[in-house]
Amino acid sequence: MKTIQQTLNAPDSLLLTLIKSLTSLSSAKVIVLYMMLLLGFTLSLVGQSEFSLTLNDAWQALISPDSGSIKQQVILSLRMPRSLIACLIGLNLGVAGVLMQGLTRNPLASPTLFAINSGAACLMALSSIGVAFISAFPIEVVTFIGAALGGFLVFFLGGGLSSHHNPLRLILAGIAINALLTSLTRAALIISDDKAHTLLHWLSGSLSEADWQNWLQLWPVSLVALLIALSTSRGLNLNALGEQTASSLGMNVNALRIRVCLAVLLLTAISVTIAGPIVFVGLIAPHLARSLFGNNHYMLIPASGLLGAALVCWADLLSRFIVPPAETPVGIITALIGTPFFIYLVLKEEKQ
Amino acid sequence: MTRFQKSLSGGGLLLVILAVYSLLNGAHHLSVNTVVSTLFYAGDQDFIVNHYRLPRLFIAILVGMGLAISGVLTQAIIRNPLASPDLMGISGGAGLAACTVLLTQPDINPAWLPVIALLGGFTAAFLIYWLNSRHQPSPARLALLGIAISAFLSSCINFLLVLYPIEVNSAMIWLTGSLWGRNWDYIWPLLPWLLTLVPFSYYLAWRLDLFALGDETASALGVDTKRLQIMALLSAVALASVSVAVCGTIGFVGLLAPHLARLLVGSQHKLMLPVAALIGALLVLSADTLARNLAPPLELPAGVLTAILGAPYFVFLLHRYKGW
Amino acid sequence: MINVENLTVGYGKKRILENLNVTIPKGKITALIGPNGCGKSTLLKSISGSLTPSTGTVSLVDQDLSQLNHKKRAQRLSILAQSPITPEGITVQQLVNFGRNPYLSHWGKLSEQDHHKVQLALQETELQDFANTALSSLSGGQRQRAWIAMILAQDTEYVLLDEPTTYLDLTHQVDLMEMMRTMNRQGKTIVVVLHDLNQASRYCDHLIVMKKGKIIAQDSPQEIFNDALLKEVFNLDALIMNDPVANKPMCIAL
Repeated sequence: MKTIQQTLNAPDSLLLTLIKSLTSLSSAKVIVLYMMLLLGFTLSLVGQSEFSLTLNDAWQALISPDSGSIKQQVILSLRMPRSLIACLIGLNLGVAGVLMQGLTRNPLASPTLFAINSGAACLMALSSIGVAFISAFPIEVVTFIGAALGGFLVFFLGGGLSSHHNPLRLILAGIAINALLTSLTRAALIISDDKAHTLLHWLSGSLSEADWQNWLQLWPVSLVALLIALSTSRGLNLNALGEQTASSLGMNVNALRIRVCLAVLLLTAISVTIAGPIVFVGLIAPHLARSLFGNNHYMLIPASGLLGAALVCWADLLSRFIVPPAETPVGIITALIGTPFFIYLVLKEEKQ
Repeated sequence: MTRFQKSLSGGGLLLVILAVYSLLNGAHHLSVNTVVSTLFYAGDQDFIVNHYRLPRLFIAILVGMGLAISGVLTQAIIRNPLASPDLMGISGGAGLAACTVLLTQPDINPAWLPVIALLGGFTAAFLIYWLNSRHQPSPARLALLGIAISAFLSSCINFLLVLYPIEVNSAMIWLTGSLWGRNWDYIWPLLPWLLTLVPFSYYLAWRLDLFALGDETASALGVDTKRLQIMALLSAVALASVSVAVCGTIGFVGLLAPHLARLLVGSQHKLMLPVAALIGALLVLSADTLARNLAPPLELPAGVLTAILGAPYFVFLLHRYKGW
Repeated sequence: MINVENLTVGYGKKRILENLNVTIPKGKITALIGPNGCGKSTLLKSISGSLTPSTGTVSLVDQDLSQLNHKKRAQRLSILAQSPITPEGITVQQLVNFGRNPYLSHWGKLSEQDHHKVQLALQETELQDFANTALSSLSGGQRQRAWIAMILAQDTEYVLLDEPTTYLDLTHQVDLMEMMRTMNRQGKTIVVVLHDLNQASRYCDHLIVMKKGKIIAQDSPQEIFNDALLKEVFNLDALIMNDPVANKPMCIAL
């Protein structure tokens, strides 16, 4: 009862929420988490390059940039944006996952399994081969529509609208829609022929093409969406008690749904636009965060975001090391980590 | 005519029409005369007709039959309408094994492919069995677990394709299933397997009707349920694996064909199994024909088209399924 | 006569029956009664062979059942499961045909004699008019008749019934009990698991009373159906009276 009281009395202003979220993450676990992220970030600035970069080069590039040095140029114009983008996309996906799980109270909910990733990718591929009306919109709008389309299809066809919907059915429907959208994407890729190979790479989720241009595209949208996401913390805490209870405690369930959906779609769509579908991050990060920090969304949302960022950052680093000089799309790495985790979750759910 | 005869003859007729169409059309349209004369006397179009379109026609039919029968057997044995070799991860295992060998040893004799795929298929089947052995999952959970394993196996395939980059069309064979570039060399190793497994499945068919009554009743009626289960599962895994060895995981055929057959002739396996096999052949053949003719000279993978058809049907099955 | 010797059965590590010895008389209707979880269904399943015992034997007269193959066993002994699965779209005729399975060759083709037996079974259960009806569209009572018809078609000397009356209304319960009697008069030995004690007393010649995997008593209802036994086995205070219709003991819970 006490926790309910607390959540009810929690401040609603965005600024206060933000402060509360940031200060709530101050235990030793969080410090370790930050360290991991920082280490991953630093290593990914210099790791595995033709030019044998060192930490010193990175340091020099930051404090006294020398436009004559190739090494510093590589770090500043290639590595820096790439690492930043990896972190931010990981953050986005981790937050999107935790929001979805919080709203649906379904431990398997995530952008990947609800076909939001693949919806965005599908429409993007269709627009790149010039399917009439889709190509007319800017790419961010197209992926947003795609993400919404994928998610809505799953929710609608998986019976998510009926009052006693079955969580399992939702997931199975999600997987089927995922298969459908992925097939359409592949078909579009093959028809576009000449671009097929790069697009195939992109389809697996890859950061190898990331540059400052992408970063400028990515951060404003992410910032807005992350703020919306943080503002749902209190609502999600209440929502954990069930919709009926939450609404009898005075929460506007529909408003919460709209905010969560908006945040999830923005976060996923912009990430897919830049890097393609990086799968399973939105499934793994929230679970790890929950086992580390408990169920309070004030803490869970930023924690899951940080974990997602660390995960993608390390996965991207790993992707450069596996078969140098070729790069493994980072999405394949997260899939190789994520699918066994998914199997583990299914088995664990089964036991309960 | 009974429904069975109607379905069989109607399906047969469709298959013939489709077969003729697929021989005539493609990147080059050929006239009926050319095709007939090429079939008998070779000639200028010998390569296109006899070594390109004809083997693909046969492979489509064989593989479709194999996948469909495998689907019938798995659905019957697990008593789960959501089961099929591709959703259970069996196809994924076979595909991964075949693809690994083909990528690392490109010169291998295609005759080995079914054997290697079998090993992969059985390993995946065993993995699922092992993961399930501790508790009896509900049908829907079993499907979820199978899909999770499939997802893992296909991300392994994805990874392999990064390690050994190949041309897009060949990559598509393993990613979604395609008959691209499959010729006579791939038919011969497939044939002996199918020629033994298909009649054997038919031999098992009417026992599966009894099995549908539940273990206890079937056993009381004199069926050795354990043996039947093992034999049917072995044939299901083998059929799926050898089919996948040739052209990758053509998804949803093993799910779709048995359901359509059941709609047409009811659930008696003796009637349903041949009809399902026919539907499977039709599905794969039409997917492949369509794949070649949608945007020639480009080719879509057949698996993409079966997924576009099959995935919505799977969602429909979920909608109808009551045993949550 | 069914002879059960030193039977030990269980699921996993949990043992349900341990070193059980019991004899079921030939030509009679024997009821297995006892509280829930006492092991009566397990005993029935072990006799029918759908559960494999860890030790012990079940024999018909002198024939050890585990020595027979599945078909041979099914020619001598049939069982109606507690909740058999009704496959989608199966007709009554198809179901009853299944009863002939133990006599069929490899390809499962029914002979003239098989068809004759199926017709007889349908007649006896008065289901001729429903032969081509889907099993799932029948009422509960009719459906149970169809399953009985399948067992009749199986034509075995021993018939096991696992709680056949559980989901039926009273009329159909009586109907089923009468059918059981008819089968018995035709010379079949019947073993039935029942929940209703008065039904067991009224329709059965021999009672086997079980509790916690042990046999507490076995004899005719007149001999063992008394208030002391009911108190011991079911922890039930009951008044025992004479059933005026069947002239057998009956109980009324106090």
